[in-house]
Amino acid sequence: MPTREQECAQRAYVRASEQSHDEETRRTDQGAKKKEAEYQRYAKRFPALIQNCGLAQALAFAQAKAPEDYLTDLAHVVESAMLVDALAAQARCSDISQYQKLTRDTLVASTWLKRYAEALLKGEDE
Amino acid sequence: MSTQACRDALKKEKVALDKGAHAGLLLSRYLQIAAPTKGNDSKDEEKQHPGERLELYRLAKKAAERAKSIYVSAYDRRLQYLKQDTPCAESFFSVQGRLIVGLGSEHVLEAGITLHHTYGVPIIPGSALKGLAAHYCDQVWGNESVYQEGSSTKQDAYKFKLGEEWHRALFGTSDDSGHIIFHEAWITPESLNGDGKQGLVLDVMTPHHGDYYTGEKDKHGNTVAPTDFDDPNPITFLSVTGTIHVALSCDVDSDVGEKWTKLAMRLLTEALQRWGVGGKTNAGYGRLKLSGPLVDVDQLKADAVIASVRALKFAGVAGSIYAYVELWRNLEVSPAQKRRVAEAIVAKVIEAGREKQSRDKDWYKELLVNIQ
Repeated sequence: MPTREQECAQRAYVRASEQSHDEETRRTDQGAKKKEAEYQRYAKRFPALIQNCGLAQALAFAQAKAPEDYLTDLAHVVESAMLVDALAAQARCSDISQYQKLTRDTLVASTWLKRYAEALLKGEDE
Repeated sequence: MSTQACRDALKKEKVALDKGAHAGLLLSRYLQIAAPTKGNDSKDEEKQHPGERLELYRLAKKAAERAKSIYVSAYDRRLQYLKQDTPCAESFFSVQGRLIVGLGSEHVLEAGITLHHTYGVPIIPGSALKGLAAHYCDQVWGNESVYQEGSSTKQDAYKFKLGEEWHRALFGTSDDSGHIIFHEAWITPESLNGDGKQGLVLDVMTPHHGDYYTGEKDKHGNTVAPTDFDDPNPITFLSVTGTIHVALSCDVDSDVGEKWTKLAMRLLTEALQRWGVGGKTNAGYGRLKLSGPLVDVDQLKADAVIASVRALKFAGVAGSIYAYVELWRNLEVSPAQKRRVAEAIVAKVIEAGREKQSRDKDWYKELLVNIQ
């Protein structure tokens, strides 16, 4: 029976893989290449943003600036079928112990997404 | 529509933000409104954060000043601790213009700053100072073509290069640590006195060619060029000014250790003045200038005792010299300074013609052993 962490990693792997494009597409479709690079960039930044500014602020910042795909994937990796708005609302409204648990879970999820984004996706210059 | 950025429990209706005393906490948890949701094409930062960002910076500035009362105790405690860490070299530096460390750290305000975790006041991490000194040592002191009298002979300048003997001794390698310890640099409490001109201060940067800097492409796939028609985009942030206390110590408690510590301080002083520390150094930020002579606290203490010993009249030596020996035993200074005081006491005994009577005394033998 897989652990919760393994299930989280599996969801992160599936979602990160879907963002990857083959070499031919990256060469011919600048939009797809840019989208993949931007996804990877936010995936790398987000765990540090949670550490520095807390979950509520990090999610609010991401809702304004991050690609929609990334946030949708993050919510799904935290908990299967969770929506972004629900995640952000929970972060704003929870009491402190629930908020701490949600922060820990989102940090784990974002770290797995970061690892797979670094491994499977290409940046703008690659 | 703007997005609420903070937790419900931290909204300004529920919390007295103007009474905050920790700038770091305010900046990282209490931004009330983030940028509006996507669809707002305005690049004007003020329109995206309707006054909230500027208000938060003002509150953080006041909070750092309010922290002064508790910070003073921590600062004094730190100075006491440093005295036990011998040998140690300390100096005060004044910021020339502005200083910003940690500007690029991940932050919802998009302009970070490094603040002390407990007190929320500006600091310069020891790692930043060490990195600056190591790089300057390699590029300048180790470079024969920019050799300057004083740090070494021209033939030996190469020993300051990365990987060479003196560079390794100062900064270590990935396999072995260096001998010099670069302590965190703390802002002086006097720089947080609330006059609005020191400590955390408001600053602004105004990039004009955002699309060009971020490598945006036009419809033909070419990078957008910078033009005179681009709009300025003022971005407020916090920077630091005031006086900073810097301290270095060495893990070798000896004359040699003291010399290396002073050398490292001289290197760091040059680097801080010429290159600067932190971010935006190409725009003149981060330059620190020595604001007084190198403060060798141990030497000051030793000089005071030596002056008293030398002022003793010959007739008073027999009755008073033992009190100075006791003072010497309890003096908390580096070994080199302790030896100077021992030499002064022995010289006074000899000068007063009391060497023969003192030769077999334990305290005299103890002094002689220390001098050797």
